Amino acid sequence: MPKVTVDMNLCEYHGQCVFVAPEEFWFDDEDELRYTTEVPENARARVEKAAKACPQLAIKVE
Amino acid sequence: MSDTKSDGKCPFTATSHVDGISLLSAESRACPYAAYSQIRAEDPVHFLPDQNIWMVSRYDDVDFVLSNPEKFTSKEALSSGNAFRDFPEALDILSRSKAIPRQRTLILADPPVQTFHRKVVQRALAPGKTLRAFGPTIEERVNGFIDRFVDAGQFECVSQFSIPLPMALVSMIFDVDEEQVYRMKGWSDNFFAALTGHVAKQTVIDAAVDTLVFEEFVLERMQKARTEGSDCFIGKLLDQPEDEPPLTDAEVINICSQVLVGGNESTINFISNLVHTIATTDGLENRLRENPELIPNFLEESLRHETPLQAMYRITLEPVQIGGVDLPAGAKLMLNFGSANRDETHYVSGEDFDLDRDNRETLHLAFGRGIHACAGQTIARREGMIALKVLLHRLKNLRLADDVQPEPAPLFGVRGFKTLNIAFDVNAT
Repeated sequence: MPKVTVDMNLCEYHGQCVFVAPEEFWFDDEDELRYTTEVPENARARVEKAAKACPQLAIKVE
Repeated sequence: MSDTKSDGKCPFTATSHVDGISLLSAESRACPYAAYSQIRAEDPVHFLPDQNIWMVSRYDDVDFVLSNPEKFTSKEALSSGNAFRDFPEALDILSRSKAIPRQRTLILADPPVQTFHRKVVQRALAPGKTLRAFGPTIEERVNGFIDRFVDAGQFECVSQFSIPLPMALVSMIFDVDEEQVYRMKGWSDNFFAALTGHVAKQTVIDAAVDTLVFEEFVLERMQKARTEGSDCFIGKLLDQPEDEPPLTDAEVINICSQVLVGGNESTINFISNLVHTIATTDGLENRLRENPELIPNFLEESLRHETPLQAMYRITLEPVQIGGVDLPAGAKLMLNFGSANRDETHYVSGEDFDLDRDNRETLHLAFGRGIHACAGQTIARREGMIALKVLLHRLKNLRLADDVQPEPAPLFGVRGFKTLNIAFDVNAT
């Protein structure tokens, strides 16, 4: 299964991942970024798109 | 779905031969999309002789350049030329600068220098934190703008709405009052005009004079931040950890000028474009009011369809092939986001505005991509969001005013408005 990591030292809360892949990335009640670290294979394309959309290039998908 | 009402804005005609195209012609400047479409179809990486530049028109090719910064330098990213270089008088004024040698930062620099600048700017700008702190105040201010014309049934959107909104944010970021922020906007307008090129000599000279005034402003604020401390953007820039090389005065000045220009011109046009699309598209206003969850996609579709800043520039550092075309080292490239964002190989009916288009599927390039992607894009989106939220709540039946036609933004490579008169129903508010 694809593994997702977000470098929180780079993340600036632009929220583009939340727009592109809302099932895998979301903001919690405290406006902190939360995300699924292991996603099903059929979500790979979506999280890769989220990685591409990130202005900080903070998201890695392996 | 193509439901744009006739707005008299874009006569769509094709030129007979691709080599005859000039983006500087009056026709292309009024509406460039026919020219873009012809270039994409006939010669996707096309040399424009009158600008001495290769226009990269297709989505994948623009994406390729943005994703390979080691092959393309960004040092002239903001201009198709350099307006100052052509005017000795302007150069003479600039030679009196206190920040010599001038320092290229951010979009005008390449890694590793750019990587460092980007880090310190992100830390100081902190979009998430900034918006949490300023968002509610901005919303209050936007309500205040509308209070001023709510009984009139009509407003001039650019001066009464699109400009005041980002100016309110810029004034908070730099911690300056309203009078000062409009002075800064004057500087920014001249910098930007000189950067885009193809403007009158006097504008370039004004920009050179303003460059020195702006330097004084930044140096004064730096001094104040160093002696008294300051919570504004400049103060935060200077608040560096000890293991970091301290920014030079010239770097701080260049960073501030980019944040100032970036924080206003394109956001102003973005907001005007949103309002124009609502005013000219049947049913859109009510749909957005009844389904506010559609607003984020509306912002993206607007950015895609009418990209405020149409292009940025790169120079090849080595011989390279783009879209099957061999280019030598030193070739100047116009990365045309406005064209890429309508590319038929990526978008169905890309020329049409369509609220139901899924913009998560094909991410537009309005903010660029990769290491130079717009650092203020989240702030710009939030400004658009607040603008629409308040506008849709307060005003009904937005439409173009009968008596005055919208006037498009005059600068090359900019899509937006100089004036945009909008009417609405008074008794409905």
